[in-house]
Amino acid sequence: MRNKFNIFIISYLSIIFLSCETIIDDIPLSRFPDLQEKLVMTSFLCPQDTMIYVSLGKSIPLFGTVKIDTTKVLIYTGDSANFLRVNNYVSDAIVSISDGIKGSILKFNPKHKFYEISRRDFRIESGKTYTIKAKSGNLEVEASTKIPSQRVRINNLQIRPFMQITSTFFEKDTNIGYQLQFDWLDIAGEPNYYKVFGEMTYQQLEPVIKNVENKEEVSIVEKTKYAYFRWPNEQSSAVRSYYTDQNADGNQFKIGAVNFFENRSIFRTKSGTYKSETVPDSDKIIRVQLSNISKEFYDYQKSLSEHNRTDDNPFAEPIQVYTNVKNGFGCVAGYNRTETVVGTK
Amino acid sequence: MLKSIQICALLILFLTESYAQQLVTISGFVKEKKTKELLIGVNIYLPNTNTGISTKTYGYYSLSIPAQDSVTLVYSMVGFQRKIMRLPFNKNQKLDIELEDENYLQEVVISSKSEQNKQSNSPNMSKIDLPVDQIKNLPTLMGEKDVLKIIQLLPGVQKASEGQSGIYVRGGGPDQNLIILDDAVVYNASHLFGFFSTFNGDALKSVELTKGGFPARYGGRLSSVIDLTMKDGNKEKFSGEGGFGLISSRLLLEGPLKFNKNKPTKGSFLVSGRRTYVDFVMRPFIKAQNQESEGKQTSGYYFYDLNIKLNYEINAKNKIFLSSYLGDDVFYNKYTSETDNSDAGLNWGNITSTLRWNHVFGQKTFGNASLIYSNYGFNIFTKETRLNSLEANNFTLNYDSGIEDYSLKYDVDYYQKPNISFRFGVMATHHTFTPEALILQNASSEVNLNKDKSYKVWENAIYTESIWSPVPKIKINAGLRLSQYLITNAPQHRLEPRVSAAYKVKDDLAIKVSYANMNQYLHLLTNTGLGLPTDLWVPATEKVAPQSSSQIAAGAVKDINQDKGISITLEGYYKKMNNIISYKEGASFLSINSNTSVEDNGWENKVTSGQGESYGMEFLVQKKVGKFSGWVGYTWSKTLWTFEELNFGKSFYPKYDRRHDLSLVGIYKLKPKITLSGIWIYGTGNALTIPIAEYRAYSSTYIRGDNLDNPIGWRNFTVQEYGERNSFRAEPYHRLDLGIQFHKKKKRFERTWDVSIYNAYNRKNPFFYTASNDQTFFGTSTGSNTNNTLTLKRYSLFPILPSITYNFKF
Repeated sequence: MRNKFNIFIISYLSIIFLSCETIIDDIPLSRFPDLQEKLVMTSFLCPQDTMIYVSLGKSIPLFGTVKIDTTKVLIYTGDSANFLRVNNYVSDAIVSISDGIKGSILKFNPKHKFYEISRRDFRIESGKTYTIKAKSGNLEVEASTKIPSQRVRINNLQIRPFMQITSTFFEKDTNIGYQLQFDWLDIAGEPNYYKVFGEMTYQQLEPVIKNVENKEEVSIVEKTKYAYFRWPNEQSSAVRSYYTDQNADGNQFKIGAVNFFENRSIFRTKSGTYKSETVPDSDKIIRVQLSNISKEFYDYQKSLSEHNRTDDNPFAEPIQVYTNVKNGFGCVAGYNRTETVVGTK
Repeated sequence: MLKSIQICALLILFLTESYAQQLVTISGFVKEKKTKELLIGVNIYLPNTNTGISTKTYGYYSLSIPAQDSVTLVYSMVGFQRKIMRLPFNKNQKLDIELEDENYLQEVVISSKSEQNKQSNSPNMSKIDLPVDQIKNLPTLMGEKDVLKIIQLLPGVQKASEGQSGIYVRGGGPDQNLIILDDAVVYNASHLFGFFSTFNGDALKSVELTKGGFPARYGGRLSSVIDLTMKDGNKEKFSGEGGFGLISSRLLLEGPLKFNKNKPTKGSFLVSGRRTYVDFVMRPFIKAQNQESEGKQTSGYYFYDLNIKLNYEINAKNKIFLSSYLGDDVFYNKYTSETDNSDAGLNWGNITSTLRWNHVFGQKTFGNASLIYSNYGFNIFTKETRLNSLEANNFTLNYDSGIEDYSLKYDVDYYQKPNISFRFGVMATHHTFTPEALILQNASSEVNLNKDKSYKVWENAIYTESIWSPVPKIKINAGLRLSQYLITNAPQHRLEPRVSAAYKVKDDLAIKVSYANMNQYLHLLTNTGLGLPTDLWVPATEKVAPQSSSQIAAGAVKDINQDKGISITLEGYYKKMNNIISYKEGASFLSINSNTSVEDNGWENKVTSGQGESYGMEFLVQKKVGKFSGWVGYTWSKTLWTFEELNFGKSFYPKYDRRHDLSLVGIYKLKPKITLSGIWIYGTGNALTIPIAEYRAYSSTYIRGDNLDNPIGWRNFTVQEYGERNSFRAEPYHRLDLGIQFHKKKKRFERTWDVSIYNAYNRKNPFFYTASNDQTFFGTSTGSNTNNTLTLKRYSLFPILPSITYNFKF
């Protein structure tokens, strides 16, 4: 009996050890049906813009070995830098735009890697539908959008100086700038989507450091700087920049408080620490834009900001980024804009 | 609506029908001989006729047939010896019957030569009685016998992921199952994140699964009813059973309640408990680790459950029952050092309690009143205290979610004639939902989200159903349920017609059809579908409408080879579900986002509703008696969801859409002392969303084009492309489990060694997939290049897992 029991124990333990091998395995690529490259085309069309730009890139299948060129992939966006993993562009494509009657070919600009055409050569008009096509090798994409026919005016714009106390890890600090308030009236009887955008241009004094024969030379120069909308209690402006009139047809939309803050930079050099400073009594230019955007514009931007918001949440449902591009990705979307420009003096 | 009016009219017509002949009624209770346990599902019939009835939950039967000099009545049930009674039959009489377990006739092989338990006799379809005794013979994961996992082996029922006890019936979600234990709803039937179910098989008397053709007495869920009944407790003598397994031990004690030695026993009790001991086993290892580190850490996990049942027979006409279930899962982690203390935990559990009173009115009417309490709660907390810090640096997080119900229910069975019986009842339930209550606290701020946001709602129903046989070959169960839902000021009323009918083509062949309309006034918010405690129960509200479904099913049942008790069932169904909910894309449990306001964080804003559609064919061959027993179940099905806000409005397969699902289950009694068993299952892989490509997406956010790289001010991001939602199919799942049991009768008790091998051929089934990146950097003169190899990796959970359990019974 004892002997039997020992045999049992030994065989049991050996099974346990056998089962301790890895339980992680690679999945062969053959399980993925559709792993081809696709074209990614993006363009935003507006009658008020002086240039039409189209970006054209390629999607890269995630699985398998891919060589990615990581040179020049730092893109500055306002006050942060984005590191890009995918930085491919397609320069050999034929890109065309048409309103159904006349059409034009866009030219690739090797400097900033976009296809472009100026307003002089092709005009975007309110209420018309445009189709952009691109063909590169055997890849072909196209997408259409209708420019919203009406523009919506910004009403009751109020601007007041604003200061906010912020506490950082090191010290208590203040944000200095302006607070805005404005509203607009929705176009009744049709679904509408809106985008608000704001920019403040201001002058700042900044040190410029030159090394002359191992010696630092610091000179203070005046520079033009830009600030963008900052929403109260928000980290990102993306969520609050887009509006829909779903359940609010014909209503008045009101932006109660949105801020601009001057950006303060700190420069640490061998000879000391410098802070950028406001030019006293300088005029600041505040520019507020209100765009009546197409549905595809709204869907695309909404899904894009949701995608970025949940990038690192493992429990979140995956977000599909909207596309209206046939056989590819990206978005071609139209909008119609009004703008109010005010100097603070 | 028209249909329901017609059914009502028919019911009234037959209620008022006059008596053609003088009928005589025989009624009583059927019990198990040894323990006096009331037996459910005993067939009582006149041989060679279609006249018969079966006992319901309380073992009561009542049969009215025309008066005659004498009749022969057969009482039969699987696993018990048949009892044949010859009685004079000219006046009403009461007859309590005791049946004897066939296992106690050790050496005699029973040939069940009868028409007992013929599947073709019942008007109900899509209903399966789970043989609780068979469950005990089957191999299991880590030796834990699990009722819900056996239910997963039946056609039409699918499991979630590896090892999970979540249940998906005919394309429905895990929230659409009405799981009731002695009349009380159990909201979260899982332990250890769904790997084990909360039901301890020892304490169960019967388990019944209904997938379609729901009788009107059930309501409130769309897809299935799992009705579990606890044992009452041995009335004759004190006895018990139990076992020691690898991860838990269990013990059941039962016996008579005797207040006066000279009088016969009037009541009995049953107590059954189970607890895991992984935390005790781990403790020395954690202690060893503590010796090396500065602080002291204690952490662990356990679950327990406890079933209690008391019953008392006041007199022949009145009985009372009290049953309770209590179960908890507890994770804890405590850390103490000189500089800081932290205390964190995660726990969830159910409490249910039912007080019932049976009353027999005359011979033909049986009534039962139930007072029911059910509570499910889930809590996460973290408390950190820094002791030496200059500033008080304390942090507290407390998250609660739960549901609490009080119900009152009254059901009446009325056995009018042999070919017609009625059942009607009323039910009122008061729910208190607390979907999410969150408190975050640190030195500088306190965030209190939805602290008092609870919903108090009433869910009420009245129903009537009738089993009626207009001609001997046809049996109909028709019913109507009116449900009422009261939230805020807008009461909702919904009428739910139900009908199922059977036509007996031949003595052993029946064709059945059914239709059922169901409404569900609560939803389960789930990201994973795994049965994690993070799933939230939420009520239907003004913004989130109740779910509803309609299902039609048709099928045929054939009993073949009556000596061996084999039956074949083939069923097809089509089900349409409305207002089912899902998280919106990007939403998740407890995603506290500083980008959005408190209101935006509420669950109502995270969900979106849509429609579901499911159809399929199910095939079941069952053999319930003999040396070899078991079943083969196969399901072909297709489920599609359509949500306006998901997948850009296009239909897609939900995660658990499964084209093929096959289960083979066999138990073989090799010798009286040795039982062999085996299970093989196969299922199509889950439909998943997996990133397949990456690209650069431009956002229109306009900024001043003041640098060379970005002249037009568009911003760009790297985004993942997933293809269509759930367009990736996981690899198919298959697994073989083997078991062997050695029984031995000792002097005072009977013992069983139970050896199980889970996943016998070590199939690496997918549990989840994840993308993993292997990068090699190499510098160049202009910068650096990356050689990027991304592979999709499959993680499997359980390799071959043997286990051994020692069971005893006295």
